[in-house]
This record gives sequence, C-alpha cells and structure tokens, in this order.
Amino acid sequence: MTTSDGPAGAAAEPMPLAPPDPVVTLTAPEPPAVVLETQAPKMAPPVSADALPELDAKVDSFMTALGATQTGSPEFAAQAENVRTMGDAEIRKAAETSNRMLDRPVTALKEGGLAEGSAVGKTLLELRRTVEDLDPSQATGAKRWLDLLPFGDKITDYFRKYQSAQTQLNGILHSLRNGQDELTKDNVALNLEKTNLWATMGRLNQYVYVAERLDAKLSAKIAELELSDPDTARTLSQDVLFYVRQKHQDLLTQLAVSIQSYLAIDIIIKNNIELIKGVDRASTTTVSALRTAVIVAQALGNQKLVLDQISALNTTTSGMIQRTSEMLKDNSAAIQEQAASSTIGIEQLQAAFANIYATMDSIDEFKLKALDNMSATIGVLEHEVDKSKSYLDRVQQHDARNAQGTLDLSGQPLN
Amino acid sequence: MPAPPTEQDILAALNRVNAMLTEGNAPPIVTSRVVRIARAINDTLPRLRNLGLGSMEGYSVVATATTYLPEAVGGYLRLPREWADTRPIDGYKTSLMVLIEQLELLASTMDKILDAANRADAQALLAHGMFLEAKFGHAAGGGPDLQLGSPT
Repeated sequence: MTTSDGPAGAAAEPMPLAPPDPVVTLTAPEPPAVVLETQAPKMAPPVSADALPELDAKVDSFMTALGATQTGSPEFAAQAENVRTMGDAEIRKAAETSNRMLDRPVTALKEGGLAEGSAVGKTLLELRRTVEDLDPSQATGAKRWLDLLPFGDKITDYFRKYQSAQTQLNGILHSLRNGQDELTKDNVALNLEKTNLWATMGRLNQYVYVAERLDAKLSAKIAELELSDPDTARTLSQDVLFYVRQKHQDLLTQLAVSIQSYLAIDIIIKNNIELIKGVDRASTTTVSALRTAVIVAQALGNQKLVLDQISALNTTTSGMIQRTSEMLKDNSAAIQEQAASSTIGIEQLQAAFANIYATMDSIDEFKLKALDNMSATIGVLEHEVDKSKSYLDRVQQHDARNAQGTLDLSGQPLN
Repeated sequence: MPAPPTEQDILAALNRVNAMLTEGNAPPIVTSRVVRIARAINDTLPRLRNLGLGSMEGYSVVATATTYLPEAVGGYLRLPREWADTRPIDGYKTSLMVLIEQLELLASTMDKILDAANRADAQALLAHGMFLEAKFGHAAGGGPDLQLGSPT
C-alpha cells in the first residue's frame, strides 16, 4: 500500500519486480555406453549370499549325478541335456523383454513426448502460436508503447485480445496437464518393466554363477581324469564342458543385453521426467504472464482484465491496483512517465513473455538433444539385441528337435 | 485445440460413473466412496475459478471427474465380481481393496482441494470484516478515547 501514501515523488524509489527464476534448464540424459559381457555380472543385481548355498548344492548334486552315470549312457545324456537347457526359460524371457524394450525407445522416439507429432509436442506448438499472438512487442512494437501513453485505444485493443484468447489458453493449459498425466503413466509402466527386468537379471546372474562353478568343477575333474581315463575326460569335455561354456557365454550375452535394455528404460524415464518439468514450467510461465497482463492492463489502460486463469488474483488485488492506477492517472504527466517505468510497466509484461519463450526454447533444445541421445541408445540396444537373437534361433532349433523326441547326444553337433 | 471440459461435461462424467455403478451392480462400499468424491467435486465446481483454471488443483478436479474416477471404477467393474472381490492381486490385497484404496486417495485429495477453494472464499469474508472494522469499528485498547461527544 506504499504507493498510495502521499505524492509519488516522496515515496521510496520503486523497485522493479524481479523476474521469475532463471529459465528452467532441462538436461537430456546421455546415452548409455555399450555394456561389455565381461562387465555384465558386476553390473547386474548381485547373487545374494543367502542364495549361494542352494546354488552350490545344485552344482554339487549335478556333479554327483554326472559322476554316477556311465559316459555315453542315456542317464549321462540326460545330465548333459540339463546343462544345455539350464536357464533357457529365463534367457528367453529376458530376450523377449529386450525385444519389447527395443520397441519402447523406438515408440518413444516416434510417438512419445519428444516427437513433434505427440500430444505434448502439438500443445507446446499451439502455446507458442497463441503466445506469439499476444506478444506485447509484436502487437505494437516496444517503442511505440511508451509513445502511446497516455492510454490510447491500442492498449485497450491489445488487452482485449487476451479475452478472446481465453478459451484457447484454457484448452492449452488443460492439454498440457493431460500431457503430463500421459508421461507419468508412461513412467509407471516403464518402472514396472524395470522391476521385472531386475528380477530376471538377478536370476540370470545366478545362472552365470552356477555356470562358472560348473566350469571350475568340470575342468578340475577333466584334468584329473586326463591321465587315468582319457576317453571319459574327452567325452566330458566335449559333451558337457563345451555346453557349460556355451551356456555361460549365452548367459553373459543375454545379461549384457538386459542391462542395456534396463539402461535404455532409464533414459526414457528420465526424458519423461524432464519433459514433465518443462511442461510444468511452460504452464506456470504462461499463467504468470497472464497475471502480469492483468496488472499492466489495469495500471496502464485502467482496463479491468478478467481472466479465468487468474481470477483468484483478481478478487484479492484488483481493488488495490485499480486505486493505484487511478491515482497515477489523476496526477501529472511526470507521474505517468513514472508509471511506464514503475513496477507494473510493459517491460514486465515483455519480460514475462520472454520467460515463456525461453522456457519453450529450452524445451525444444532439450528435445533435440534427447532425440539424438535416444537414437544412440537405440543403436546400441539394436546391436546388442541382435547378438542375443543368434541364441534364440539356436534354442528354437533345439526346441524343434526336442519336440521330435530327439534327445540323443550323438545327433548333437560338437560345435 | 479442444476446449477443456466445461462444468456440464464434468457433471455428465460424474453421471456416467453413477450409471456405471448401477449397471455394474457395484457393492455399497464402492458406491458410498464414489458418492463422497462426486459430492466434493460438485461442491468445488462453483469455486473452481478460485483455484485458477490453469492450476494443478483445478486440473485435478476436472481430471478426477473425467478420467481418474471413471478409469478406477471401470477397471474394477470390468473384472468378474467374485474374482475381483476374493482373489489377491497385490500382496494380500484383492482388486476390490485396491480400488477402495484408490477411491480413498481421490476422496481425500478432493476434500483438500475443496477446502483450499473454500478458503479463498473465506478470505473475502475476512477482508470484508476488516473493511467493516475499519469503517465502523473502534480500535480496542487503542489508548484514551478522544471522542468529545455531541456539542449540545
């Protein structure tokens, strides 16, 4: 209420409004590096100490059973088959998830919030158009604004634009919130996928452990037999150890692919979070520009601008602003001049609009970078998923043979 | 750009949820909660402007009527009733319990928003009180009275 106390000249130097916080910065997450197979077990959920005794017991009982069978016997073949089918269900599940995951970023790229054609993208474009239409500098030109004082019709006309843009703005603000909802839903679904993938990776890592233990024990046994029983040693090496190592490799490959998918999901989630932040900022900067417009309209044009978006403000402060502006109008030209440069001048409205532009520019910039990083993520993931496909093909062939009831070891290729 | 849902759209959406409940023969435990939410939304509607149309709260009220509530109720009603009411789907929770939780969350959120909207109206009453006080009231405990009384 200081402005209404006495002549304006005696009042303390008016302080211009500080613009809202600096423009929001949205950071596009960097694409993940390629996960090497050798790193995979360290990156995946670790095998818990509680699980170790059970896993060790499995390895031991397998070794005992294998030792009890005669090489080449059907029982021996059955034991070897156990190695070959070990963890197949998990590997397949993980491979399928990765394939689905590969669709995810591609879909995110094409239809997600980042895409031009997405709902959020369209709404932001619409917001830019509407805001450009209301831009104070575009309406009359910044310089002429001051020339127009005191209070030409142009100002009245300009602020009338707001009234006609109301429905449009309401639609945009509503649609922006809708877009945020969609992005949030997307993230919930992605987090579920992440949880599932985490569990699968944990299981795969347990199989990796089992394969490593089997490798160590079989290698030791083969070395032990090499002198006393070279034939058995050779059979063990060719029919069991070979498949243990192949399986180990498959598991590592799949684990690496799964980690890559997991990292890719993370990227999408982070992108969505950034976008939600950006959209939020776009809404708040728009509303705050409208708020500024209401104040400026009343101060400069003595025009009561009632906007749905900010009616709460109208009821509480409009009276005060009105009185201030009336007082300014009643006073001399000197005071009017001051009105132009005071806290509720057109500069503040321009600053408010500049804020909207800056926010939208920052979103656009983010989108470009995020799209780039997303493409890189997909490139890496595609390459990794391809690697695991060769395994899937092999399993499929094997399944086909199993379906025919062919469990005979002699029919298996050696490599 | 489609216009945001109007008051009529919101009321129509609430009516549709009501129809869903009747058609689906929803249990009273669900209906009573939906009624509570609908009442809160109904009470908030005339005050929606107080919240500012672009605000998160304003959007939440609209979206609860048009999306959140219908989706929650619809998701439950689509399930076979016996299965939904007895089969645990999330830990020990059945679909019915999950729905009730969602409805409770919506109800308490709508109540909070209604309270905020009312509060904005109450501010006006407080302001009016201050104005009346300034015009007609006497400053209590403000030192000795300087009124001289009528000159006759």
